[in-house]
Amino acid sequence: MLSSKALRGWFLVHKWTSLVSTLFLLLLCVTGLPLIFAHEIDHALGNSVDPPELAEVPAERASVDAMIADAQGRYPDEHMQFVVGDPDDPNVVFIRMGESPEGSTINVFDTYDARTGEHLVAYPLEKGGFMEVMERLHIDLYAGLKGTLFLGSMGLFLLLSLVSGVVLYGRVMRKLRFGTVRDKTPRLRWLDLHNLLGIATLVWLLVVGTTGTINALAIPIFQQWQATELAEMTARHAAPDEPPVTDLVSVDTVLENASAETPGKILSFLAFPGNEFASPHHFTAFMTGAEPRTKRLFTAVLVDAADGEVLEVSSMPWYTQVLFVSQPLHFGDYGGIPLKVLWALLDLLAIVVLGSGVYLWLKKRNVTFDDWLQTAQGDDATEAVPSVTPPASATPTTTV
Amino acid sequence: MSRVQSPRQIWGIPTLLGVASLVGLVAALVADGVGDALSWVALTIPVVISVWGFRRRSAPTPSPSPAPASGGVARPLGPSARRPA
Repeated sequence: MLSSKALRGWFLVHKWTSLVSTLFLLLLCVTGLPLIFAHEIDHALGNSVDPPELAEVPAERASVDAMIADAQGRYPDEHMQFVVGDPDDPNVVFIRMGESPEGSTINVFDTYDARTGEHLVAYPLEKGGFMEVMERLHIDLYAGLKGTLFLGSMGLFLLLSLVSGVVLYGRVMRKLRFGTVRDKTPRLRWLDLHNLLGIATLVWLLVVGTTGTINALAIPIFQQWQATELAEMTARHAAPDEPPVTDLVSVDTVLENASAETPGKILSFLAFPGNEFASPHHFTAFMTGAEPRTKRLFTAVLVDAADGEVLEVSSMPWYTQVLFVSQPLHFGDYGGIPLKVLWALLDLLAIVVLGSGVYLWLKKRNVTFDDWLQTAQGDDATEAVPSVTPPASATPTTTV
Repeated sequence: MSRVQSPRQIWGIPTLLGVASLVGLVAALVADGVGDALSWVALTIPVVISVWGFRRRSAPTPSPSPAPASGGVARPLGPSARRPA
């Protein structure tokens, strides 16, 4: 049994971690709701399309070099950054371009049919669209890495709030059956709902909160890999001061050679020379397994930019793997539409937990902790709780 | 209401809900098909339990005698039940 002092401590932890983070967590829950269905919304708006049904599927896959040439013709001022595969649809290839080969800008994200090489659709990247606003508010609050790290820290407050909430739940529910919702006053009703919904969604919230914080660290995580493993790997095969390779080998050759070295794996993305995921002298092909269990395990294949020779195959370190596994667990995009609907429902329940928490705080700001606990536990005035000291207002009687 | 519950009574259902959530979160990650279906079923449990919290409560205090089956109570039809045309 927790001492009254310890319980009061947990209560304060719950109150303050929640007060600090609730506004931002509400923002994350609300903006996250449409983002769960980003793929479906993009399709409905025509921003992304499914490849057409073909009467006759060509025996050979279309040339990626030809797609790049087509894209370069459409956007002569843009630089190739990535060729991206779709893990869920082998029939499409995405071409991503920007102001430079580095990935800091993205100006082009076009879809090609991997079977025919046909240009299917250009993703509209202009600013200010509804989904773009949702994404920025969810990811960085328009403040770049600082904003992302700030939102990530809200995940830590959420974790503390959840842990302290569980401790309080154990105490408040000491005399109440699971699922009790008392209707005596609106405050009691919302306290009970806050407890029930909080405990029911606890594990989902823990996982989505933790993986959200890990995703917020994506940029530092990749920078760590780029500064250590990638830098060492590329330095082994080309002196960093060598002039950059300008006459690039065929991308089809690069992909063919990378696939030959990683049997059974599929392309996640190919970083072009000059990109931070490659080097001025190399392509890097990031390959993943094709099975659900291996889909998030990445292998980096370093390919010579001048002759297409595979120089090194390296599995990604644990901290990037943690990030790759955290992504689906945060997005809920790994179990079809029903999982997305459940994600949305759990998200709505989380909004109710957050909102009821604010309501309860507003309603009992002027109530002492002991009074609060007694009401919460369902104790009548006649029934004293042994471990809780009476309020200090009881004046000691003066001896005569 | 005043009886203190055992830890098992307090934590039993929350533990089961936590396990169901974990199973639901992991199943679709490691297998398609059956794994997806298991995820859907398992994650529906915490959602249903939460929604159940919003149920309409007819009696504020549970009566010791078994309650009559709701819906089976015959209700006299008032004059407003069927209006003559």
